[in-house]
Amino acid sequence: MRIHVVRSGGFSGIRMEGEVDTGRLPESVAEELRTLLTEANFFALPSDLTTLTRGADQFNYEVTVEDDSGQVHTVTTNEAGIPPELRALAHTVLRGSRTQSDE
Amino acid sequence: MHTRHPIECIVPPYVLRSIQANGTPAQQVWAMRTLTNSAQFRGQRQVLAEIAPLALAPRVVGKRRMIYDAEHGFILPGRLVRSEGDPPTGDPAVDEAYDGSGHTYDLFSEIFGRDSIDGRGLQLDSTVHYQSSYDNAFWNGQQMVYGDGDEDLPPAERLFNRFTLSLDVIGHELTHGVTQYEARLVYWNQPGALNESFSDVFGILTRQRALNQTAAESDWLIGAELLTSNVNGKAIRSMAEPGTAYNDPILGRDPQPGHMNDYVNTFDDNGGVHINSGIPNRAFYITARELGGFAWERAGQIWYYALRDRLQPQSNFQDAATATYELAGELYGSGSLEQQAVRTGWAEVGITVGEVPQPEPGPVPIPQPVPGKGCLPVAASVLDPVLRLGRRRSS
Repeated sequence: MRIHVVRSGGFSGIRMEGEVDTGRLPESVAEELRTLLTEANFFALPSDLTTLTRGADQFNYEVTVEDDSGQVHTVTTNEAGIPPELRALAHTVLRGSRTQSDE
Repeated sequence: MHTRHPIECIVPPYVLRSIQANGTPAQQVWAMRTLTNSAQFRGQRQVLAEIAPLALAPRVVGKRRMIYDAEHGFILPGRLVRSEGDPPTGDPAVDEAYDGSGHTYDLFSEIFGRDSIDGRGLQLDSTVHYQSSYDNAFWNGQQMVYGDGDEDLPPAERLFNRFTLSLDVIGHELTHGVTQYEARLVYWNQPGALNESFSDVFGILTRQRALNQTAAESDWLIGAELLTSNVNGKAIRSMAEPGTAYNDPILGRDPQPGHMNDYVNTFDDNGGVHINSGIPNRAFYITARELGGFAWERAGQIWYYALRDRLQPQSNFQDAATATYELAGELYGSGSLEQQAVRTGWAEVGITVGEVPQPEPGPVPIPQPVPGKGCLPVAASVLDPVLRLGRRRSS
């Protein structure tokens, strides 16, 4: 399963992008990500979960998942609209990619 | 133009004030309502200020800061950990949010005569320790929110420090609140980039004033304390030289343009609001450097009145250039050094103002006393000279 995350906006405006293949991750991390996707009921989520809100400097997110059967789904959301499970998933993927690209 | 109900003009405000002070309870209520209604048109804040002690008695005005701790969760505002007047807590994030929102309040209050975000003493709420390893600070429409950066990672892996560490970041976030109550610039494309730029402008002015720095002494960097030594960069943004703040293997390169020729069209970042803000940022920097001295004294005044009285939700860069140019003429004189500096500032980023005679009418004149019509002359007599700068509606 491939998970691709793009986070843009925020105070810095710096676009951060990361992708993981769960088959190449330590099993504990892969299991954590699979659990988060299941709890979020990811493939049943609307493609646009953006919550219109006042405010500024909030993150925007785009999460794309392709499972092992080839099913692909993308969810676009933001700070005010993101479900907690996707927030945790995006964080893990972006952090993991950051370390990878640092090597 | 502003409109007033004719009845409100029958009784002069000084009589109303007398009734309010000395009349029966019912008369006092009536007088208060009439005074506040007639003072509601923009600019008569002084009238409100005079009657505030009585009319707005239950409302506490002045600096009121509340700092909350999200304890690394995402529920806002979180647990209250420091209120106005409380001593320092020893938690740097809490105390920086408290001190920083205080410096920002003081800039708006002492330099621009504004009482807090809404101009009416709105309580300043800030939450720190938002989520864990959160590389951001934001304004959510009601309050300021700060993450701890990468403070949970080993030092060698950290890119961002806690977001309260830069005073201009705190000023930036609080200014988003001011913009929400004034020009209400939509957060998309050029209006959004202006929204961002005004936050950087008053953020850096907050910092310069706290450090007593002139325009020449300031580094004009936004978020200089946010990046760790692991990042190849000096700040998040450079108002003096947009595009030069960082160039890093992980964060990439600072994408800000400093000229309209390099304007970035994108769907990311709400249409590049943090990218194209480099253009108006540099226009302000050049204006302030042209004028010299403390940037909040003249350049800051012009930009503040543009935000408060002239710009509207859909205003673009050209509108901002025109507004600041016209304001410079009204505040300091047509053809003044100040107006020339504003024109130079915008010209350097590729935006032309003041080349052709403006067909717009001049400043709204202060009404002259008219015998038998008590309202206008009394009202006008308490007006600050700048308060005649009426909001100009676009046709």
